[in-house]
Amino acid sequence: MKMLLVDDEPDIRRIAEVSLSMIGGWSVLCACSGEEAIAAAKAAPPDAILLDVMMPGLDGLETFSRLLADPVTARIPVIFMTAKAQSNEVGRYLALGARGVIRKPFDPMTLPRELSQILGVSR
Amino acid sequence: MSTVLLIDDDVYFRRLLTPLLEAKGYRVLEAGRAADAEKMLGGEHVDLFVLDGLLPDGDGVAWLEKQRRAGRTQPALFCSAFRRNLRDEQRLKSAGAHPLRKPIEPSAVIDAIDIALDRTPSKTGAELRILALRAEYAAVLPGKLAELRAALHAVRVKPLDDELYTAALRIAHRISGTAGSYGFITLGEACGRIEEQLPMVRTGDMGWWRNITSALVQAKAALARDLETL
Repeated sequence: MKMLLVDDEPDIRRIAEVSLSMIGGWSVLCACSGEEAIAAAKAAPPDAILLDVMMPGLDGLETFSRLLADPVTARIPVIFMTAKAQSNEVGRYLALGARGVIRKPFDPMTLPRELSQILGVSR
Repeated sequence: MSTVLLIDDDVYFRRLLTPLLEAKGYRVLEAGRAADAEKMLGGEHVDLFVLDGLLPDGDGVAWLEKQRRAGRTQPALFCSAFRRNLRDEQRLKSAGAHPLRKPIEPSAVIDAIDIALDRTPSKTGAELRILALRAEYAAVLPGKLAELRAALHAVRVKPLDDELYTAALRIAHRISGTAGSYGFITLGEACGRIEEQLPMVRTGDMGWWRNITSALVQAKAALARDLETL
């Protein structure tokens, strides 16, 4: 299972990558911006994308909308990562077509299990 | 039984890793040179490559690219002590290699091999890695809090300066979203409160600064407690 992890914060990418690869057993590709994520998803479509909402430049929502607009990436399940301060937005993300929402902070020991449940896959 | 081709001219690294892999049920082929590794591929079934970045007769990335061109699609772990430039990073990604940085614990290499070959990874290895990351993050957290404090002070002096306000908000947002994932939950929550309340000071009601200052004090106290128990 290939996961594209998108976050502008290197500390989040570091802990999430260890969690997803060492505990989840997934192959993880990291992107640090919306632009980089779109290019990576088009070049080698992953099985799912874990996408931070608040990023400088192209934010998570705009990135998601561009992914949806491209036939190559439109069907890739996207799970948003969002801070507690934006929890009222969760319903809106799901209505837009996101597969699920993970709240930051997350527990790196259980993150792969939460993602597997959202994606309906077994690890 | 899965076969690992270990390509590294460091004989000590091979001697360290091979018995551990064999104890886990892997068959290990060793090569100290790129050319020797290529010869082995002619007559042996190999499930995964572990290769060094710098080999006596060539560069590991180029070796892997050559194998990809020849249609060999085995997973590859690329262990290197050198910091790679962006172009090499891109080449590694294109070749589908998983990078590992030396020095590295043998258990971390074995975990990565297990994962790449879809075997159950060592949970203990994962937990140890997360603890090590937590310790690394703990070492930089006091600096991040000092940065936040300075940014907040700047906003207090010039509350209507958009640039200063955005910078402070961004720092608070980063810490609040990240610290909890490393186990610094109380500190992360305190920074979350700062993030929530910072927009209020722009209304001109300076009473909000009391809440922000109090949250900053709580964050520092939480950090001190967490560092004691780390």
